Amino acid sequence: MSNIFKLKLTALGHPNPDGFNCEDEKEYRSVVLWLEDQKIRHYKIEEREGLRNIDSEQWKKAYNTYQTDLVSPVVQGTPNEQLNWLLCYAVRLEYADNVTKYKNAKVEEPKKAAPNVVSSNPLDNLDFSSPAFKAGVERICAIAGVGPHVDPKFQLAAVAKILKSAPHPDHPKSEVNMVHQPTDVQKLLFIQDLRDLQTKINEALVAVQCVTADPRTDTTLGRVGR
Amino acid sequence: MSNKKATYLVVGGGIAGVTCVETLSILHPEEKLVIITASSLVKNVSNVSFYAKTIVKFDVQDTEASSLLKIHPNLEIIYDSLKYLDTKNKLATTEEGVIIKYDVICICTGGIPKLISDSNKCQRILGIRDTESVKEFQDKLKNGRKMLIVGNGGIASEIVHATRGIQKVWVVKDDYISATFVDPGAAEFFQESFRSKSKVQKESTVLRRHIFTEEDTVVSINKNLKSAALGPDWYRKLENIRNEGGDLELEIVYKVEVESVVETENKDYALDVKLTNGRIIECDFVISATGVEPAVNFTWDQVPNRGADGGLAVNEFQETSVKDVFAAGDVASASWQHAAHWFQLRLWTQARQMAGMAAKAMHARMTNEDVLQDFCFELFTHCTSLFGYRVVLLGKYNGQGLGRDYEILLRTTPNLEYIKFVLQNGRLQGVILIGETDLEEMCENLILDQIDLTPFGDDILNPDIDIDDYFD
Amino acid sequence: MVVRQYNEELKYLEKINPYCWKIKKGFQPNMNVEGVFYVNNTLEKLMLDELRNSCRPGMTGGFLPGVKQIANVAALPGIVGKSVGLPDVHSGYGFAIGNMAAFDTSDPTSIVSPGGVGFDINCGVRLLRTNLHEKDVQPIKEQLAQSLFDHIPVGVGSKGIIPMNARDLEEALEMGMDWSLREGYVWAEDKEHCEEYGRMLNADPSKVSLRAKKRGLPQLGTLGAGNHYAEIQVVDEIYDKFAAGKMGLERLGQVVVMIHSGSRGFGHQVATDALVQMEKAMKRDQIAVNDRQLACARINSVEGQNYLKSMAAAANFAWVNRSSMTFLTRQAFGKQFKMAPDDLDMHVIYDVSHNVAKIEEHVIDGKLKTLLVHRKGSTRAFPPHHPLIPVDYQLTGQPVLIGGSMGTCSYVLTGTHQGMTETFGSTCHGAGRALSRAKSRRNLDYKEVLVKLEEMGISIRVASPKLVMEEAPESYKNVTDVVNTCHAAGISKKTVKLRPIAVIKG
Repeated sequence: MSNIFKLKLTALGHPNPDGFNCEDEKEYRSVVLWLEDQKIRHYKIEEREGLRNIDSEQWKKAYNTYQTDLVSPVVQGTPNEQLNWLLCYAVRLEYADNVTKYKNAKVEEPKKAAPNVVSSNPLDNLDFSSPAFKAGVERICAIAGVGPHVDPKFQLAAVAKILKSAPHPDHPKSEVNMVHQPTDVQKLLFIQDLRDLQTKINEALVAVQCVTADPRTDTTLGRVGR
Repeated sequence: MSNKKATYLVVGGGIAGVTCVETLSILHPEEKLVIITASSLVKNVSNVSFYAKTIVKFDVQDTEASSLLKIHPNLEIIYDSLKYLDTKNKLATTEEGVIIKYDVICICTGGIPKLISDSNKCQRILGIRDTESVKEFQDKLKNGRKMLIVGNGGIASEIVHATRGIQKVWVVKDDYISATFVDPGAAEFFQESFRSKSKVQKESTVLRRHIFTEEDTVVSINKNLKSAALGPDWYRKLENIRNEGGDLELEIVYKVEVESVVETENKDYALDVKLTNGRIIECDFVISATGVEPAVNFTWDQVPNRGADGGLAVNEFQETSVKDVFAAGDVASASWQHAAHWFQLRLWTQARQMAGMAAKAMHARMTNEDVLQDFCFELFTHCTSLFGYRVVLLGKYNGQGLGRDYEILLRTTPNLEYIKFVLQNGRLQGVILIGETDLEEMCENLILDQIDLTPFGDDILNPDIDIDDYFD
Repeated sequence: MVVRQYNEELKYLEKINPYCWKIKKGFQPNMNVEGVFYVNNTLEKLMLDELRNSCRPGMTGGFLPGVKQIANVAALPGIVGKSVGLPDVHSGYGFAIGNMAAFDTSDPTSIVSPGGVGFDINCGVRLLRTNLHEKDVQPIKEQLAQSLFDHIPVGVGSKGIIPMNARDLEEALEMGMDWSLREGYVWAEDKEHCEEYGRMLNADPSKVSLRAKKRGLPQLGTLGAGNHYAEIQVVDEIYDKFAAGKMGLERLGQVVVMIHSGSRGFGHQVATDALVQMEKAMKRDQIAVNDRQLACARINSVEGQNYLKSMAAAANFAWVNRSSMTFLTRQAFGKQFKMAPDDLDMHVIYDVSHNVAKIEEHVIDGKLKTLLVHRKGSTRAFPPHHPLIPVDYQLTGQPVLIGGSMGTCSYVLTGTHQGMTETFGSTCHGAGRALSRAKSRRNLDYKEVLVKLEEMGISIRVASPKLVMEEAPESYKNVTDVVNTCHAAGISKKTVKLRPIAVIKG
């Protein structure tokens, strides 16, 4: 639990997230007060008196009222659960204040157990304006019967459409190879896309497994079973 | 006087008690478990092999009770006997005054051998069922010249098969041997392999059983060992003991029972045994192997209902009529509505099955889970070795409860296999398989499925047809 | 039933090419389509011998020969294309084992038949590869075999299959391999190399009887299935280097593990329950069949749907079993070689189902149709670029795993376009029966035994051979003959031959 607190306190910019000890009643109370003072600000400043008296007998009562006012679902929960909810709530508020800023934040990738199939799509690095590309497209277009166009990318799209709807047009023998080559390339590219998709699915499954798996099946712990 | 607390309490170190402990060690190792065992030796099941879903063969060995500690982290063993059970307050008191507070208890106190009526007055009548009497039996075997064996069950059969160098008279009340296990046809099949002396004994199996040490004996005597049943291969102990005297000799007297036993003096043999046919047989001792009776050697605040055979009546979850008191093994009397092809027979197989079920039900009680009765109670199965052959008995293998309204379909190859199908309305009700038939799983499925076999006629066992995967 | 002489029967059979025979309409009554079976010279002789023997006087009743069973299936309502007998065909309950048949789901009279799936629903084979060489494994194969299915957990912290309770079973039936995945028994990549991704989505455990569930619930410390076994094998021959490479099989002597398992007793109960229901449905819907064992129901009837849903649950159960065995196998190898299973490259190459019925799309007479394809003792073998095969095998075609009988060679094949058009993308599943002639030859002697039994006053029949020893047909179909026939006929392509070095019974 304390690790989660640390993470959230750090995220919220608490001055001393590492030193926070949730078991210490006094520290606990001052964090609650800090949250209200700095982040949540549900009450007017003068209404925070009850929470401010962290040494008072009445603090608990004020805290309960505070939680009820915030409509916390864990008013009946353990102190840790209650604090966790408060922290989550504060994080939510913080996020809502700066949606645009946080939306672009990159989450550090978790370490993957799944094999990472490294792939590079050759099309990504293709220079569409190169003369070689233009010449290649012209050649295919001649065979597939696609008319001329200034943009070779347009022509390529047309070729793709033709190949999709009529993948095996009859061609003179000499041309068969020339038609097959691009369809084969297309198939290979499709397979590569599919592989990427499948790898991502696998990664997602592995991530889910970390949560759902019965701990007794964890072979990495060195033993299996109980 | 000490007081202990445990979630689970198991009484008895026989096959049922140990199975119960083992099962709980898998299901609920976090919870405290206490086993009360009279002997420092308990039964251990090993070499479990599944011939089919419900057909299981296993070996039983004696092992130090302390070895159980290795499989269960929260186990405590109390070498003692149960004296009094207070089921209302869930307190068990041992002979030595230890009081254990439990949540659920399983009584696995086993059975005691039935002895013939004169056994009380004569030291020379041995009831064979527990380890102590085997030891005694071994000693006698060294000195004896002639013995009389009463009983027609597996143990009697095994003694006859396993003893050497002593004259044997086997008194059987039926007109064929091994009534409990096999039918007359199978008995004939075995007789045949008796007669053919040429039959090479299969490889002599290494006896993995615990070798008794003096220490063990002391513990056993001190604790007044109440009951400890024998394993299926116990007789192998006897195999190497030979008498220097005369030839091997076996006489089987059918359709006869023992009328009286008289100890004699100044005669060649110590006993005169009178049979119901008037014949008198002289011998050194009498082995009584006529089955077991449920053993409850403690007192209760309230005695649970008893079954017709005197055992503790249990429901399909092995619970007695007293809540949270379970019972398994020979002491239990299966009092639920039995499945069509199951019946109770006090065998190791069933002791193990019942104890597994009891443990599951106890665990379910403690965790508030639902539990289903184990499928093994849908079909009677017993798998053993007799005279060196694998014997598998399934369902109503002797037409039990079918009256005369059934048919037998048979295939036998001398010294190789004996296959008997019991059919009613074209559906398989029971099976005896002797030898390596590879038909175990198919037969199990055919009985459970109740497929109409009429269209196949006798061909279902046609030796030219390989039937095993037809029903895959 | 038509009773004809053998030479009369032969008039209905026509050899259309060296590896394929046609069974013409009329061979059995009411055939809707023709039958076909694939054989080479050796298998052809076995097939025809079986038929010849059944034509002899006094041979009525008992077991129908495989050809007759194929023809009876051709008479079932709604069948399309052909009733196909694969080279390893031999008689089974209702459908022959090694028979596949497809039924048009758009035809309201089309049926589903439990006999066309078999009792051991989704009995199948899974192949795991390793990066080990035979010489690494030979010295410790005994220990490996010992530890592989030593799944009775003994000792604190020992390995073993985690006990499955009634609730787990319910979930497993619905989720199939997804359950194993969720619980952590298998790797995410295992799923993509599994037919149907290891889960039939139409499974409905609520359609499964309580008795079936009880029958499926594993005994403590065991897998749910009854018989199952695994073989440690080595690559013995590579026929197609490219396809083998795609499967990660690169060199001779490379060690793989083949896992054989199914739904066993659970499947039996599902099939039995359905057969009982269907007999009633047949009366109601007036469905006539040539053989009572071909009990069936219309696909869209309640009985038909209930069967398909519970069959799917049984199929899921079988995948869970194979997944548990995968788990145990990886663990045993990891322990013996003191390496993590992924460092041993223990990936699932593929997982095939032998006994199952599935909805698939096929082109019939140039039209795309949705069919219910029954494969009994037959393996799906889809060609390259088929959308239902894993991305890794898009170029090679689906791997087809052919287990020999215990202890004989096994093969890996791939699916072909020809198989797709000729046999609905189906091929053989393994050896015929794993029994040699020697086993059938028995010296029967009943005299004394009968005397004893007769005293009980019970009617006794004795099983005796109907043929004299020299005439009794050989029933064993060698896996190499079977595979070579499939390859030569073009319905699948040989990739790799595997040789067993250890058999491990579960």
